[in-house]
Amino acid sequence: MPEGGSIRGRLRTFLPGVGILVFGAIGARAIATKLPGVNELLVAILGGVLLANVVDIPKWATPGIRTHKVWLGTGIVLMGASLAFDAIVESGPIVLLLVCCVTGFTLLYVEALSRNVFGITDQLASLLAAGASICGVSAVVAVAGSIDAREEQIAYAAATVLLFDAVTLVVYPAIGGALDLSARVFGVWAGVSMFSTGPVVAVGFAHSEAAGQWATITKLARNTLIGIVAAGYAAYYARNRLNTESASADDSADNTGTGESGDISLRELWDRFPKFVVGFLLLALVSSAGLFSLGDLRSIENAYGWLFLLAFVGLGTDLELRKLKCAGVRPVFVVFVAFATVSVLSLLLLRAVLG
Amino acid sequence: MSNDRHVVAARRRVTAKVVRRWAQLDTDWKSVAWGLAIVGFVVGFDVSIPG
Repeated sequence: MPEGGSIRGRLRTFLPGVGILVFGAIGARAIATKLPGVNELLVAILGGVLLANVVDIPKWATPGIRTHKVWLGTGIVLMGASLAFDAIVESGPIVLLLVCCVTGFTLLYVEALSRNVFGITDQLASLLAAGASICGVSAVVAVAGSIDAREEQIAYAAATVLLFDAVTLVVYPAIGGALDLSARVFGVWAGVSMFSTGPVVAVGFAHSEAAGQWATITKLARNTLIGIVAAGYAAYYARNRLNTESASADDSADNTGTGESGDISLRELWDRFPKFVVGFLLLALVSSAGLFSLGDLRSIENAYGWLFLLAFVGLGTDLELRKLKCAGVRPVFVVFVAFATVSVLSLLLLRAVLG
Repeated sequence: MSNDRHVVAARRRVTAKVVRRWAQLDTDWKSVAWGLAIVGFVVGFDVSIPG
């Protein structure tokens, strides 16, 4: 983001793009109101996709449109106020256990598939594993920094994740409707198996309000694991580098000068922790203490409804077809096999556990 | 008059500092700040946001 020196300068930089997001959000809501059965969040994403791929976003609008991640985060923070806290406490331990199991399984499964079946042996395997198991492109970028991945590896992994985000946005609501899944099962299923946070929230709320809340809280639980996974990868790759260096050097060589011990610091974990979870939990606590009136809660719900619409217009602009085309065939196969397996297994498990 | 100029200059310095700090803030913290600001606005001024 450019850093304008004054408030007026910053407004001039960001307002045009934010204006386009607002215009898109109002348009999406108007279309969904006129056409019953059409979901406004999916219309917003489609609007963004059309804007990026048909019209081409003008340069003056780019900084403002890129703020969509801030609006998504703000919407999630506000959602904390309207959570059914007792339901979360009741099902929380099971959901947390599922999140840890599915994330761990997906990570190891993608690593094993990439290296042993598809012959992807470099850092790309780890980027795909992180993207598929935790939080999409954010996880790819976070882990890339930890393992010194190359630019083209990051681009391949990010394009693969975005491709699956686009596909799941269409496929998940269709499956949810066909199987007549309950709000809780559908929400947790989307939260535990889809990739990026934006599409998870969109698909959840496209099903129902309750499914949206379950999808978001499950995904947030998954996102909090990013720090641990990124730090774990950093330690693993640093140790591997040290081992390679010491094997190639004289037996008597002293390797302590590299400064890479592979230790994981708390600071590193905190740096990668998704901080909007703090705001989300804070508002959930304030709300459960009964400090908001019903009118306040209604307004907060309306506010995050609008913010999600804004964010999803912007999210749609991220799905550029020319970028998706650069996803290589092998990474797509790896992620497809892993995703299909995890998606089916987690759905079976959820139907058995949560009914 | 001179006092007014000092006040205006001080206000500009503070605004510039706030803008600079905001620009350096992590996206996640910006979301938290926006979220709390909206809640403060709704609760503090008893504002109703239409759906």
